[in-house]
Parts: sequence; C-alpha cells; structure tokens
Amino acid sequence: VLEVFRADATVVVCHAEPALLDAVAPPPGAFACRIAPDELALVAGRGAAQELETRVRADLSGEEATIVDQTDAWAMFAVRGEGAGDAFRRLSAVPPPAAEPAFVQCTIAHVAGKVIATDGTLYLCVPAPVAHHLHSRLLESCGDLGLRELPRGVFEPGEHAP
Amino acid sequence: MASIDLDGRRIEIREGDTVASALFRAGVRTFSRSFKYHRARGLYCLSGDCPNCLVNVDGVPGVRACSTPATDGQRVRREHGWPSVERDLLSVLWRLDRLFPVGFYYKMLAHPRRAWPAAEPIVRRVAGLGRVDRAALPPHREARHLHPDVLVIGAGVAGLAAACAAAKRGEQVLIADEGEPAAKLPPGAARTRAEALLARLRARENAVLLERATAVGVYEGPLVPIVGPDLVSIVRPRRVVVATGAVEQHGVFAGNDLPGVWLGRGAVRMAAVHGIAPGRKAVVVGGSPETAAHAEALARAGLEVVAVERGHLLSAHGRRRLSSVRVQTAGGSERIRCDTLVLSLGLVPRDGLLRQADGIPAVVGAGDVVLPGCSPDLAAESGEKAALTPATGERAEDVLPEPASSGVLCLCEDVKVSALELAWQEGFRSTELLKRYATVTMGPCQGALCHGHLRSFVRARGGGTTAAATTSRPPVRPITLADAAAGVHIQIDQRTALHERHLAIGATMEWIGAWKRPERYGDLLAEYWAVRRGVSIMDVGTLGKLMIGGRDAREFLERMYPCTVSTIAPARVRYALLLNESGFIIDDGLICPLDDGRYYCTLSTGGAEQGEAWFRNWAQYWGRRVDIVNRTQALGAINVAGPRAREILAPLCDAPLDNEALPFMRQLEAVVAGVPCRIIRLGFVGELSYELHHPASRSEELWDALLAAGDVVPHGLEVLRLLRLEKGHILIGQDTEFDTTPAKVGLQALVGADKGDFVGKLEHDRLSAIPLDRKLVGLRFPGAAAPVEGAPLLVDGTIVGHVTSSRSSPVLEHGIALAWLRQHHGAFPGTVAAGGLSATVVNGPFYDPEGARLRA
Repeated sequence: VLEVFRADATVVVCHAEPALLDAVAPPPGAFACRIAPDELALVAGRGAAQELETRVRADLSGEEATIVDQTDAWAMFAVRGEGAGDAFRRLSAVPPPAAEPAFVQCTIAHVAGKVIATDGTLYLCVPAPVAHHLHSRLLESCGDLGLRELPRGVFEPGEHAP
Repeated sequence: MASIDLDGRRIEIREGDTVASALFRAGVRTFSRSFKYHRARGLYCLSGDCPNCLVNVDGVPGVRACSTPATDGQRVRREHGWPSVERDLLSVLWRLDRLFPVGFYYKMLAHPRRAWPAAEPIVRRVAGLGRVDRAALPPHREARHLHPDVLVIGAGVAGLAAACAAAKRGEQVLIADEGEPAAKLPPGAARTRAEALLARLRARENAVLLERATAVGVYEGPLVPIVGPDLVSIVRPRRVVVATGAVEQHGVFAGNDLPGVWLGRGAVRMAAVHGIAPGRKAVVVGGSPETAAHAEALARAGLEVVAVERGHLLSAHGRRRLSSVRVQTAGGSERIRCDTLVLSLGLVPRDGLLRQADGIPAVVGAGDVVLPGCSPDLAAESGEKAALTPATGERAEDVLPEPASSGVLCLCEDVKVSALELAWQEGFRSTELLKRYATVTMGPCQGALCHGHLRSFVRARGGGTTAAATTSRPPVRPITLADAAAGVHIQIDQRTALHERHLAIGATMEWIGAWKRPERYGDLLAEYWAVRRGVSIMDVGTLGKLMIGGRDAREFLERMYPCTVSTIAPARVRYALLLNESGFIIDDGLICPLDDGRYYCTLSTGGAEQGEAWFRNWAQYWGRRVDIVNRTQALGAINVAGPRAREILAPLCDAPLDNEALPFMRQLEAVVAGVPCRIIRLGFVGELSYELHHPASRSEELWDALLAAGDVVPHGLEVLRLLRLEKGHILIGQDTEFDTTPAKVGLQALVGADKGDFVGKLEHDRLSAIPLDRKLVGLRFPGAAAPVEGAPLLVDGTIVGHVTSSRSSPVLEHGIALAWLRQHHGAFPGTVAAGGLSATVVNGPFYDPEGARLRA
C-alpha cells in the first residue's frame, strides 16, 4: 500500500569549514545531510533541536560555526510502500534513490527540495511556505497509484542513517 | 452490441476495431475534408502517418481514427465541412484555386489596410483540420520521469528484438509503441516473429512495455518525451534504439487524394487485420518487393485485382471518390474502372526521430528505419545489433521518389505540385525555403509522406545541396497543448504560516511576488483607523530574513552595505539600503546586530531570494568566512502598530516595552504570549510599532493571542500602502527605478560619508558629484482626489515626470502622491499638474513629519 503523511522533524543546520563538518557524527536517531561543503543539516524526530545543537558543538570542539534551528523552514512528507518510487517519478526529474540511506537535493514538484531515503521511506522536504503545494501534488499526481493519506507522523531515520 | 456515434448515427463496433475500421465497415468513405481546398479524403495509410482520417473524438479534434481503438459510447465527429463533410460546398475552392495561389496571404489583401483584418477570420474559419473547443479547459495531464538503461521506440520486429537483447543482458528496458505491438501486422512471417518476441519480452521483469505511447521527439541528453493515454513520460535513457519502421511511398499524380486511393500496407491491413475488403475492384500499382503480397492479400479478401507497373499509372479519376484510373499502355493509355487504387511503391524510413537525434551518439536506428523493406530476420538482427552496440551510426540509403508533375504532394497542407512550381518561380529554391513558404511538410504528418517528394522536386530542378533533408523538429506526431504542459504547475503560491488564519477571517488574498498575502479583510477604513487611532496587526512574515555569522561577518556586511555597520551597537537596529555595483538601490531592510557577534538582516518581501543570492555571491567572490542562513521560511513576523500598540503588547510580554527599555529603532529578545520573539521597534506605517519575529510554527498562537488582547483589527496590504505613503516611505520597485541612487530618493544620509569600500561605492561617489536632474518628491493635492499611479506630471504642457504612488489620505483629508520629477528650465518646479489636478511639490513625510508618533 502506498502511503503518505506529513512528518514532523527537527532540522538543525551547521555552517563551518568543510573539514570541521567532516568530523561531525550524527547522533543516534539523526540523519546527516550535507547540503554544501560548508553546510550540514542534521535531521531528527520532533523536538530534538537542543540535543542536536549540543552534539554538534561537542563534535566541533569549540571551533567557529554557525548553528541554527531551521526546523520551521521545512515541511516534510513521508512516502512509503509499494509504488513510492513511482510516486517520486511523478514529482521529480531525478531518479528515486537506488539505495538507502541516501540524501538527494533536487526539485520536487517544481520546488527546490531535499529527499531523504531511509528505512523504506522517502522523506520529501520542501520549504514550509509551499507545503500545501507538495501536499496537493502528491494527492493529485499520485492519486491513480492508490496513494493513501495517513495522519501526521514523525521522521524516523532508521538504524542505518549516516 | 457496443457502438459509437458518428455525427448522430449509431455505428456498431467489433472487437479489435479502430474508429476507422468501424466507420469503414459502416460504409463511411469520406473521413475528412482537406486543409485548404476541402477535398474529400478517405482512408489512405492506416498507419497514423497521413492526415486523412483525422476526426473529432469525444470533443478532441485531430484524432487519428486509424490508430484509435473504437470503444463503446465514443462520439465521433467529422470536421471541416460545410454544411457537412459528406457534401461540402466549400469544395468549390478546388476550382477557384487560381484565386488562392501559394502564399496568397502574403500577397493579397494588403490594401486597403483593413482588408486583411477583415478577411483573416474568414480564412481561418474556412481553412484547417478541426476546431478546438476554446471554452473548455483542457484536462491537466500528469507527467512522470523515467530513467531506463535502454529506450526502444517502436515495437515491431526490430524494436522487440532490440528490447529482448538488452533485457537479456540485464539492462532496464523501456519499449514504447504508439499502438498495440504486432496488432497492426497482417498474418505472416513478420507478425509471427513479432508475437514470439513479444512473449519473450513480457516474461522479462526488467522490461516495461508502454502501449499506445508515442515518442514525439529526441532531445539532447538523450531526453525523449512519450505521450501515452494516461501520462506523459519524460524519459532520460542511457541509450535509445529508434525502430519506428517505414512508411510506404506516397504516390503523387493527378487525382492521388481521392477516397479509394490507398497505400498498400493500409489496404492490406483493412483486409487482413480488420477483415473488411477495401473495395470490389483494385488496381495495384507497384514494383516493390511487397507488391505481390499486397495483391495476393487483396485477392484473398475477394477483390478483383489488376496489376499495373510503377510508372504506368497516369491519373486517378472520380467525383467524390475513385471511379477509374488511367494507365499507360503500349498504344497510348487506357482507362480502367475500379473503386480501389493500391499504391505499393516501396518504403521510406519513418526517420523523423532519428534525424532529430543527429549528433547524439547514444541514439541508433534499427529495422526498417535504417533498412527499409528488410526481412523479419534482418530486422531482428538489426535490432539486436543496435541494442548491443550503441553507436553504429547506420542510416537508410538516401533514395528519393521520381519527381512528380501533378497531384497533391502534401496531403496535410493541401500543397499541389503546381503550387511548388509557382513558389520555385518566385525564388523559393530550396527545401527549407519551400517548406516555410508553402508549408509543405509542416502538417500533422511532419513530412513522413511528402518529405522525399519535396526533395525530389528540388533535385529535379538542379537543387543540389538545396535539396537536402529539412530539419526535423519535435513533435513528430501531433500532440495537444495539455500534453505539452503535462506535469507543469506554474502558479506555486508561497503561504505564510498565518495563511489559514487570514482566510478564516475573510481576507482577500493577492499575489506579491511568489507570495499570497492579505490585501484586505473587509472594511479598509476600519483597518486604516485602527492603525492611526487604535492598534492593528499585520502579517509581515514574507520579509526576507538572513542570519549572517562567521569570522568575517562584520567586515563582510561593512562591504555589502553603504552605511557603517561597525557602529551599530547590539540592541540597536539600522535601516539600510543595498546598492549594486552601479550605485543604484536594489533593496532595503534592517541590520540587527546580535549579542553573539552575528547579524540578523532583513530584506524586502520581493528582494528576499535575490538578496540571499547577492550576499552569497559576494561572500564567495571575496573569499570571506561568512555563514549565510536564510531564515525567511523559518521565522514568522507580525507587526503590531498603532498608538495603543504598547498597551496591548505589554501585558503579553515578559520584558518592559516602554521608551526607556525599548526606544525607537531598538530591538530586544522577549517572550510574547508564550512565544519567543525578537521585538524590533520600527515605524514603517508612521505609528508606534513593534515587529515580532518568531518561530513560524508559533505564528498562529501569537496571532490568536494578539487578536484576543482586545480591539485589535488586522490590516492588509492596501492599507499598508496608504499608511507608508502618508509617511513618505518608499517601496523598492514601485517608487524606485533601475537607476535610482540614494540621493534621488532623499536617502543620501543612509550612505556613510567617510566610509571605506562597499559595493557600488565607486559609482556612488561619481554620481554624487553630478547635480540631480530628477528626484522623487511628494505631491500634495488640494482636494481628496489623487491621480492614478503612472499619471504624467505636466508643467506648461511639458511632461516633467510621473506618479509612482498615490492615494487619498483620510487623516490628511487630501490626495497625496510620490512622483518622479525632473528639472524644468533649470529648476525643479514647485507646482505641477497630474491627472487633471494641480499639486504642490513637498519634501519630507506628509504625516507626522517630526516623527513624534514613532517615538511615542
């Protein structure tokens, strides 16, 4: 069954010298997304901002960095089940990630977004102001795939998150 | 019994029927009327190449009846005949041909000037191939993106063999056919071979077959759009095998477009696949390897067959359909009575897609498209080879038909050989020029039938290189605009976190850049007076917001802004301009230093995205260690404004908000109604104001608390425009132009006089030394009226500027405006006229010029 739900997540971004970011290890329950050489985003479940920030600061050992809670900047939708890849093909020109865990930056429904593939689920992230757009695109573009909408849930990166 | 409706007539359909076969069985012989001359047209190719069977199916014009399955309940309409397709009075145009020579619309009706505008609607109504229902919105089509290893276009023997070979090797294969694979083939070796390959392919899990899916173009990449019945697939394969087969040679001779004239494979398909004899007596013209098979198939279907050699056919005759042909004999010519003329003249590659792919190494042809008329064995071998060796570069031998001397060369656009003769005499002496002038090859078949004849025409006249193939462009098959726009969603509105709150209280929303924002909530005056006399709130969450951190943050901002940044103490804020390299204003906003050495900078709503890119580009260019975090989406912002703003806000806030604790142009962090906020004291609307910047996820909570604080009325953009105009505050983009300097808008004070380098400094300093010839000024009108925005300013009948913003001010009780004014006779005028009203030029804000209300 193909399912979609709005997933709550915490997003903490860290800007620092690339070499410093290479040393940051995401804590258990968090997913590391390298946005750019000098920008790392840690994504975890709801309400984890403080913990993530503390962890990153510890990994950076006091080195200079800009760490910001960007949770409210993003809206995340989880797509899982048989046909999740087909659903993604309706929304993005890039192929769905072939393996897990994976992080891809691409346009999703014509909006600059990010994709986290983990634990059998595709988490699609778009800027919060266009959350309604991705929601309607998911339902309209993928309706014939038997997509079922579930109540709001939580981002779960799985055991093998990077 | 299942049936379709043809022009109100019920027609039974059988299993395997196409719309064309069902209609033909029911006795329909005229399927359409031609583009220009309204000639009767009947079934011809039955392969989806010619325009003769285009009909309207369920409201969609231009549907190919020969390749559209008949389904119960379909409504089929033949188009483009007056009063009907069967008896079309406009067919008289064929006899009036001399009045409408090729390109007549370029030459005639040029004088008088109104002649062409009057004639054009009539010409457009008379010509064409069908009508679109312009009142009906096209259905939105979805698109998907596919990335197979190998895409095979065409599921004939060669295509299926290629797909099987690639799939066997373990590659992901996508194969698309515009019909049902093998279904078009008459019983025989090719069909048997295709069915066997199809069975093998279906057993493969790594091969996907798209039926009724038409590849319409090949772009670099390669990228191939495939239009299917439900979806448009945008395919980006690693390799493409084009196995689109061949189409039979179109015959061009007098009477060649009469109903009853068939291409050989089409006639055989009607007889052997659909089981319907195309006629009673057929003259089969040919000399190709398939001619004998065609004749035999027709004879088996019960037709009396007369064989005629290629070149001996002189002309076809008949009034509304074929009744006889004239053929050359040893002693002269002979007339043969018949109702069917079958042209078995050989094959030409259906190579439109392959020609589009010239120079793209990952695209290769297979089967008839490179070896026209090849045997099933050879086709299969060619397909396997193409699938495994990606760049064979094979192309069909360039064989052109004998040049024709009469007849309709281009069936789609109704172009006769005589029309090309005239065009040639007029100087259009190459295939490309003739194509553009006479529109030959530009119709639905995209030259599949007539391209070779066009080249042959040019070559016969000594065309040489000008007889080269014309450029093939997508789409090779007709598509709808809905197909072209599949998957596209242009209007993506950005919404603040308060969007639903605005709608819930009746806001009228308007577009501001990419955002949807409240224009008003209902009573504009109530909103206005709430700000001027009470308290009001506004959602300003769309403002651009950047967090600037990093070791070089201060130095970086010092070079980005023309004002001095280093002197802004924490807790203070500064209004600042952004200039480009030319010294012109590109945006404005606030600089708010934070306690930890970082900076919080705001940008205008429209300038947020460009502003971020502007900051990033310069940071990279200068190689500075700067962290730029776009906080626009993460933070909401609500402006609380009005004389009672403090009174409402203070009880909700955990920090004092009096003038001592938070004076004008200061900031502090505090909790308001339980929501952590950065409170910035500003005055864009000219009253005591507090901007509350907060996590966007808490916006609704904060908004509700403010509204519940008592007598708080929200205001929208329309009132904001008036309020800021009264205060004389500019809107970047509305009151500024591309070359607006700070001095021109009276903001020179925002540029540090003795500041070091910053973006635009060089040009700013140069421009500052030049006296102003124009500037932004205020206009005060004696009455309540104000001219429209854009109205010119006049002095003694001379235009000296224009209005950029104007409103009638309730509090001032007269009209006001901002306007660009230039010098007149060496000085700036003190009075001007605008929109029929006289106005006094004023400097400074119209409302509260001392700023006492801001600092209240």
